[in-house]
Amino acid sequence: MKKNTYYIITSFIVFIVALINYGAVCLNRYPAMLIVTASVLIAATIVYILRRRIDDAPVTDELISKINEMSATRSLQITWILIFAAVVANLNIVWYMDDPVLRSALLHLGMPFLINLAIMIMIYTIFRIYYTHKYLGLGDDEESD
Amino acid sequence: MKNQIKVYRAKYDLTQWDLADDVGVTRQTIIAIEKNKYSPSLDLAFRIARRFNAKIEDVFQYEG
Repeated sequence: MKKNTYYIITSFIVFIVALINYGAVCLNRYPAMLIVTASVLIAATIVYILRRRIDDAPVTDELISKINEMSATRSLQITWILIFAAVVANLNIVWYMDDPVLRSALLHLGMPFLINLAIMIMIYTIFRIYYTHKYLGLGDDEESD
Repeated sequence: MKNQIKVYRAKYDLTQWDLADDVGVTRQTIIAIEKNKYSPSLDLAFRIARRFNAKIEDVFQYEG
């Protein structure tokens, strides 16, 4: 596939996702949330697959990959520190509130952040294990015995 | 790591675009290597040396 074809298809996909989002917001119902999430995930997967099929000129190479890796790693590190700090600070404030109803409600609001944080750490750990096995191949160490 | 890519490009009359195209990377990568801002992988270093029909140590010099 040519690079220009990729950009045209990607623009079309982004347009469709934007339409779906607009429709979902207009619907304003609970299933809309699932539709939006699913559409974004599917679009990202399709764009990723299309990107790998470009063959006329390199879109990425080892330097660009390294830059992407470094940016992703630093973003991840900083993001989870910020989220953790925000969650801990909020929980502390909420915990010492006098109103039990408000305290309970706010504690429930804080939970999605904690769950997001846990999911991020889990995903990171899974990828870490996957790439450790892929590149270090610990089972192939001749001098381990 | 120092390199002689610019000298070899001049010798073979290649632009950065040509070299990038021949070894399958972007022009930005060739610029970064020429300016010693990025040390290429062994694989890319061999591809560049092969493009110039030179030994890898003639194109790249390690400064310990």
